[in-house]
Amino acid sequence: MAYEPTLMTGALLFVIGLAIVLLRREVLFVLMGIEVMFNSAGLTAAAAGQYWQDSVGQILVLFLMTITGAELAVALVLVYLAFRRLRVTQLAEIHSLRDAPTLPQELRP
Amino acid sequence: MTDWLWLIPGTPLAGAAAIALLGGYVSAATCARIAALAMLACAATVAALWADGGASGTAHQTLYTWMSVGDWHASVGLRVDRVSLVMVSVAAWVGFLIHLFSVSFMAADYGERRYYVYLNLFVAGMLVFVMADNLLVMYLGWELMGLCSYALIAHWYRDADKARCGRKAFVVTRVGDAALALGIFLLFTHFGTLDFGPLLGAVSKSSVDTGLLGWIAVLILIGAAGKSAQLPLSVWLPDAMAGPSTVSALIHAATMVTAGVYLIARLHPLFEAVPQVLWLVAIVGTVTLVYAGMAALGQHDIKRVIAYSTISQIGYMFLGLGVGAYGLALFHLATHACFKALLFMGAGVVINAYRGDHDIRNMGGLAKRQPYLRLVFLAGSLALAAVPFISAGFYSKDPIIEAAALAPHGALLWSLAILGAVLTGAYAFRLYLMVFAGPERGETVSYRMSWSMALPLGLLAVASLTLGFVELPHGWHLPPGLVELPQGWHLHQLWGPWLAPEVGTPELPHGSTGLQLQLAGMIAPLLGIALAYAIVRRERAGGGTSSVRLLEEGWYLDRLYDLVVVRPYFSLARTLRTLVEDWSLNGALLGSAVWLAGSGSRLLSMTQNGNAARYASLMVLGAVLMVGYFLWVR
Amino acid sequence: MLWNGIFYVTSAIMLISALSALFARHAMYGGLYLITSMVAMAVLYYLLGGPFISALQVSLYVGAVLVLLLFMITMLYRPAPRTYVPRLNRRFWWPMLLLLVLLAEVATLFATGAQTTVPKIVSIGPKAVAEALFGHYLLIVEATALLLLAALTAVLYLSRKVEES
Repeated sequence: MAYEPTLMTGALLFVIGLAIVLLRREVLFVLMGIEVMFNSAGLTAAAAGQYWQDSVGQILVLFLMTITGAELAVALVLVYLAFRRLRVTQLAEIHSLRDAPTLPQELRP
Repeated sequence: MTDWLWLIPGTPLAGAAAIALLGGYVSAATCARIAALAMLACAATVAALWADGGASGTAHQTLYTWMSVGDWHASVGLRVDRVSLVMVSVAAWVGFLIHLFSVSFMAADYGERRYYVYLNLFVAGMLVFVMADNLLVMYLGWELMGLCSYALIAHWYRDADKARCGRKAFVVTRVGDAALALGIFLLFTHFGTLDFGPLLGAVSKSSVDTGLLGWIAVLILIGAAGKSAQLPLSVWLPDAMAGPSTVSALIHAATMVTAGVYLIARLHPLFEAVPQVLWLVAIVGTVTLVYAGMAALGQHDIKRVIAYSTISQIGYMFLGLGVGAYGLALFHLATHACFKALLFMGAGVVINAYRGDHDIRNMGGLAKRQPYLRLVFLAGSLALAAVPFISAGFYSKDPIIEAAALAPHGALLWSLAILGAVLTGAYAFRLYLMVFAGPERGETVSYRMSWSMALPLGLLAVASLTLGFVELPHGWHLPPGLVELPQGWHLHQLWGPWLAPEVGTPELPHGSTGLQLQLAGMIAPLLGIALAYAIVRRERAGGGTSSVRLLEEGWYLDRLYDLVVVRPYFSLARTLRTLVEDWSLNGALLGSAVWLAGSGSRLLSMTQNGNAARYASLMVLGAVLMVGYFLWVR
Repeated sequence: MLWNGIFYVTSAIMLISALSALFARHAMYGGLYLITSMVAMAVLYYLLGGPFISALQVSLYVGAVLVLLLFMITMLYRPAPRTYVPRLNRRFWWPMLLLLVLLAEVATLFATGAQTTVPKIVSIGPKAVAEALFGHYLLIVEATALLLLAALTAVLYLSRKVEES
C-alpha cells in the first residue's frame, strides 16, 4: 500500500467538502459538506491506523461516526425549526446576530 | 516685636480673606469697613514697630519653611531693616488713608466687595514684597501685586474697554516679570542661594564674573522698569487710569510702581558691581522723565496728566538710584507717595464733581465751589512742582538733580533733569489752573466730601508740605538755639545718615558749584509755573498744548508697540492657528485618527454581519494562512 | 497490483460523486450523491484493513445518518430548479480563491515524491477493535455515551410542540 496517495485522497475530499460548505447557499447543503469533511478525516484516520498497524485508527473512525450522528441530529432539528419559524432555507437569511455596519454620526470625520 | 512682624502683611490678608469668604452675607458697606479696619490694624502695627525701636535695628522673623529640596530650603521670612521700614510705612499708612477714602468714595458702586478684597490683598502683597528676606518670597509679593493690579484696573470690567486696559497692564508688566524671573534663576544658578544676606555678600566679592552679573542686572532692570512704568514699558500706566481713582492712588502712585525702585535699592550691591548697568538705570530714568513730562503737557484727561506725572517722578527715582543716591531716591519715593495719592484722590473728587467728565478743557473755576478741595489740590501741586522751601517735593527732588551732576556724563543727566523740573512745574500747574482757577465752566454737581474723604486728603496735604523737613539740603543750618539736637546730629541728617548704614551716602556737589546748582533747582519749578500760566491762557482760547498731537499720544509709543509687537504677534497667532491647529492637528492628526478608527471599525464589522457563510470563509482563511505560514515561510 | 487498481477506482468514484454533490440541483440529489460517496468510502475502509468500520460505515453512516438527512430533506421539500447556476459574484470568487490556495497547500503537503509503503495490509478485525475499545479507551466510550444522551435530550426538547397562544 502506498501511504501518500491515501492521504492525498483524503485531503482532496476535504477540500471538496469545504467547497460544498462555502459555495452552496442552502443550509442542508452546508450540512452535507460537513459530512463529507468528516468522512475525509475518517479516511485519514483509517489509513494511519493501518500504517501503525494498530486498531486505534478504527476506533477514531467509530467515534467520529457516533459524534457525527449526534451532531447531525441536533443540527437537523434546528434546520427544521428554522424552516418552520423563520421560513428560511438559505443560510444567508439567518442573520439576526449581525453587527451594525454604520458609524454613529458624531464619529464621522 | 519680631514675633508680631507677620501681622503687618497678615492683617490685610486676613481682611481680604474675610471679605472674600463672608462678603456675600454682609452688606457692601460692612465689607468696606472691614477692609478699612484691617488696614488700620496694619498701620497701627507699623506704628508699634516704630515705637519699639524698629528704626534702629533690624527685625527678622522666619515664619515657616516653604519648600526644601535636597539641602536647599526656601523659607518664608520677614525682615524689616531701615529701607524696608520706609516702604512698609508708606504702604501701610498711605494705604490706610486710601482705604478710608474709599469707604465713602466707592460707596454704592457695583462690585464693591470685590474691590475691597483685591485692595486688601494688594496691600498684603506689597507688604510681603517689601518685607521678604529672600528673592523667592519677594517674587511672590511681586506677582500678587500684579494680579491685584490687573483685577483692580479692570474693576469696571463690564465695559470691555476698561477690561482691555487691565489686560494691557498685566501683559506689559508680565514682560518685566519674566525678565525678573530669569534674573532670579540666573542668580540662583550661580550663587546657590536666594537669601539677601548671603547673596548680596557673594555678589560683592571681587571674584565674580561681571559679564554674568551685568546680564542679571539688566534683567532685573527690565523687571523693575516694567513694574515702575519706565521706558520702554511705560505704555500701560496711562491706560491703567481706566480703574477707579483710589486704585490709581494706591497702586499707581504710592505702592506698586515704586516696587521697581525698592527692588533696585535692595539689590544695589549687585548693581554696584556692574557700574555700566547702574548708569543705564540712570539714563533710563532720565529719558523717561523728560518723555513723560512732555507727554503730560499734552494730555487733557485729568487722570492721564497725573499718570504721566507718575512716570516722570519715578524717572527721578531711577535717576537717583542710578547715580548711587539710594537714600535720596527713597526719600523722593516717600514724598511722592504722599502728594501723588493726594492728587489722584483729589482728581477722583473732581471727576465726580463734574459728573464723570474727565476732560480738563471742560473744567474751570472749581475753587469757588470746592474750597477745601482746592486747598489740598494746591498743596499736592506745589509738592509735585517742587516749589522751593514750602513743599516736600523740593527737598526730595532737588538733591537728586544735584547728585546727578556728579555722575558720569553728569552734564547730560543734569540738564535733562532740570528740563524735567521745568516741565513738571508746567504741567502740574497747568492742571491746577485749568481745573480750579479762572471763571466757572462746565456742569458741576454739588459734591460734599464726608469726613472719611476729607481727612485723608488733609493729612496727605500736610505731609506733602512738611515731610521734606526731615532732610534739609546740606549746607543749610537752623538758627542756633531753636531745637536741641543730640551730639553729632545736624538737622539735615535725619534721613540720609539714618539710611546710610544700609545704602551709603551719595556724593553731592559742594562749594560754589553746589550753590549754583541749588539755585538752578529753585528757579526751574518757578519757570515752569510761569510757563503754565501762559499755556493755560492759550488753552482757554482753544489751543495750547492739548492740541499738540505728538504730546497727546505720548510720542505715539502706543502706536509703535501696536505696529511692531501687537500686530505681528496676532498675525503669527492666526497663522499658527491655521497651520498647526486647523491643518496639522485637526486635519492630519485628528482626521487620520478618526478615519483610522472609522475604517477599522467598518472593516471589523464586516466580520460580524451575521452571515454564517462568511464566518466559515474567515475560518478557512485563518487555516489557510496558518498552514501557508508553516509550509512556505518556515 | 489489484489492490492499487481497486483503490484508485474506488477513490475516483468517491471524489467524483462528492464533486457532483457540489453541483447538485436539488438537496435530494446531493444526498443521493453523498450516499454513493459514502458507500465508496466503505469499500476504501475495507481496502485499508478495517472490515469492522467498513460495515459500520454502511450501517451507521449511510443507514442512519444519511437517512436522517434525507428524511429532513423530504420534510423541507422545495421544487428543484431547472439547472444549478451559481451566481459568479463576489460571494463566489473569494471562497473559490481560498479553496484554490488551500488546494495548493494540500498538494504541497502531500505530494512529496517520497514513497512510504506498507508491505502488507493487515486486516484489523472487530475483535482487536473491541479489545481496545472496552479496554484502553473505555472512558472515551462512556464520554461519548454521555454526549449522545445530551444530543438526545436536546433533540427531544427542541422538537416539542409549543403551545400556539
